[in-house]
Amino acid sequence: MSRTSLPVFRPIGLLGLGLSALLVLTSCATTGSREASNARFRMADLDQAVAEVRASLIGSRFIREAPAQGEVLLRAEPLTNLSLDRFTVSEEQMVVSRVLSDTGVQVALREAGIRLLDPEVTKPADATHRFDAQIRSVAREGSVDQRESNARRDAYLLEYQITERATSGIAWQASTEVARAARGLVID
Amino acid sequence: MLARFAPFRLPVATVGAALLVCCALTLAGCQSGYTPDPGTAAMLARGDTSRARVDLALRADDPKAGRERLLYEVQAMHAALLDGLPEAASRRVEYVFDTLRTQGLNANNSPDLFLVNEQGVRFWKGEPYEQAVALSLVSIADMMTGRWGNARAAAIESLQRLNADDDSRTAEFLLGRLLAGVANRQMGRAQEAAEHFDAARAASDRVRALADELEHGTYDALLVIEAGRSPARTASGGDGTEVVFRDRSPSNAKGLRVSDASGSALWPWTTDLNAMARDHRWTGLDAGRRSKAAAGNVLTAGGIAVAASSDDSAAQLAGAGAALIGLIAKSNARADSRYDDLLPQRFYLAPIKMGIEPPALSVESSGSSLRPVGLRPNEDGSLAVRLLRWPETSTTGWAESGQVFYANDVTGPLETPTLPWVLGGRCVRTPTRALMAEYRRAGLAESVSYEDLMELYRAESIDLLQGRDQSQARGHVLEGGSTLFTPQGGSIGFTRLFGQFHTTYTPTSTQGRALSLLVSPTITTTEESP
Repeated sequence: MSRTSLPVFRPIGLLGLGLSALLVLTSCATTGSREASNARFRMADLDQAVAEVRASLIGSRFIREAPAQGEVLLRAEPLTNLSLDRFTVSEEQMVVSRVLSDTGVQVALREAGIRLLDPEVTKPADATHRFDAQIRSVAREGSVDQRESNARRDAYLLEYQITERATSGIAWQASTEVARAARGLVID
Repeated sequence: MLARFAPFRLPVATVGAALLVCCALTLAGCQSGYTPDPGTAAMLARGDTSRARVDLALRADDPKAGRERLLYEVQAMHAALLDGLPEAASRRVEYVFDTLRTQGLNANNSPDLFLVNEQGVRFWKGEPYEQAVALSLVSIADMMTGRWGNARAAAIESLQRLNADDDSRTAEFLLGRLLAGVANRQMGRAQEAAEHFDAARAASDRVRALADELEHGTYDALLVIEAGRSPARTASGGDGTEVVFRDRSPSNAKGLRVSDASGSALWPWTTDLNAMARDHRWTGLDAGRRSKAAAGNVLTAGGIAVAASSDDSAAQLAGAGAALIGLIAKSNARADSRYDDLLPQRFYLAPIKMGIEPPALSVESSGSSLRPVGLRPNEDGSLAVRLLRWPETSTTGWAESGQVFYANDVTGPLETPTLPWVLGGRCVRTPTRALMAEYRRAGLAESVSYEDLMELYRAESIDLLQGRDQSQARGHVLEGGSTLFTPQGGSIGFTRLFGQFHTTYTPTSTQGRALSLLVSPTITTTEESP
């Protein structure tokens, strides 16, 4: 059996093969864009963000004056999430522990005679002071091309506070901000 | 230039075959990886949330889920919540929220879209209404586990997905608005809660009394009740380029009658997905589809005309090639028909005051009723939230029995002591040393220790799951599965499992048969199904 081949067909055939191969590859490959991003709060941003908070606590009047106050028992309360993002239990604990578990903060608390209570085995009433952390956020959506919403910016405000239980007086407070931006169609 | 190709003389038959194979592969690759499964929908319709949960979890965890991963994850999450197992949904809740918050998932697909069908290239993210409802389910999941800050975030995000900041949009998606109000109230944020409830009242008189109750009432449980089936998404028009939603359950104004410890109330539906599907569509791809179909038509017609009119074999082949490409373009212009077929047609919200008797629910003039059993106040005093689906088909009586026939970890013991299930009794509580005294009163020999009983569960290959371990739940032993757990009281899973009798268990292991002999035969008689 003879096989035929047409000179004119060669470029058309090659073009067709290339096009078909492209079709096959594109139809099988895509499961999500590498350009996808979101403006959710990232724990990776936390260390840098809370550096000022730690420094503020270490140098605070609360720590300086603690030795004169008698026994100071500090208990960390769970993070209050007032943001537009969700947090797992471990992430909530991290927002608190990034401040209180810092070596510098631990040393300062110990030297001031402040005892940190374990929330797992103590009740709020066991403490003389409570440590609260709260996160809020504001989201803004916009359009780079003035058509569909394809840009979002979330600004997160982290607020930390120590309150004396007996008087409800604020013994120390500090805050820090983190901003996250993302591009790409929000709906898609 | 052509001379360069001279050494590569391609036989016509080879090239033609290769083209055909590539086209076939392309078309195969373009097919949707998702086909609605009537079996799963039927399971949910008859309240078999456990089997649906297990089936959907397998699909969601399949590495081949690919572009439909989010769709499967939403469905698996949904079934786990309906089954009263938020722990089994927790991993999926994280995935669903994170993926829906991610922008530009399909940003790189635009060039491919010209060549390939939408379903073959686009990651499924759902229509705006599907995204809003999925985020509401995330909010409900967080409410079921008492994570109110997260519930508030997800509810507000669901509103943003529809830009629901005006009355008309709020009126269509009152579910998200009311959930945001409830979450804020639970967090002690009365002012923000009032803003959401005010917006709901302003948007629709229909929910005025409901919003008042949710804002000021003394309810201690909230039931979110789904009914009917969401509209089906189909490709319509000449080349299938138009998206059309076809109602599967008709919209109507039927309310939900609720009888509880505080009396009787009639609550309206809050959200109708038939209306949302019509009004909250993303139309960003419509023009592209029409253009692709038009280009395909031109190429096909032109190619056929050239091939038919020319005597030159090369021109004939070129015409045939153009016609083939045109046909592919036409077929690829078809609209994406993937949708979440397991969503309901409507949502009700029913605030409940818990009493000794389980609440009784009935949809107006439907003739059927539902009595979710085992609803208990949360230990921390917060609102108990459950997601229920109205059974569409016969439920063999469990939905209306209002009784608990098995000792379990939520409602505790039965009136008379009973043996563990694994020894032919009706106790499906997680074994403890304290429970052994009750088992002995039910006829278990003194010589059988707690360790013997635990060994028996191991020998029978039954996994005991509590707390976070419930994320590993498969089928329940009462229904022929190999895991023993207690779903949240008041859920469909709990009501179905414990509100009807099941076949008595007979141990199969050597240890089980040996221990069975140590049970007093006079006390171990178990009740048969009525």
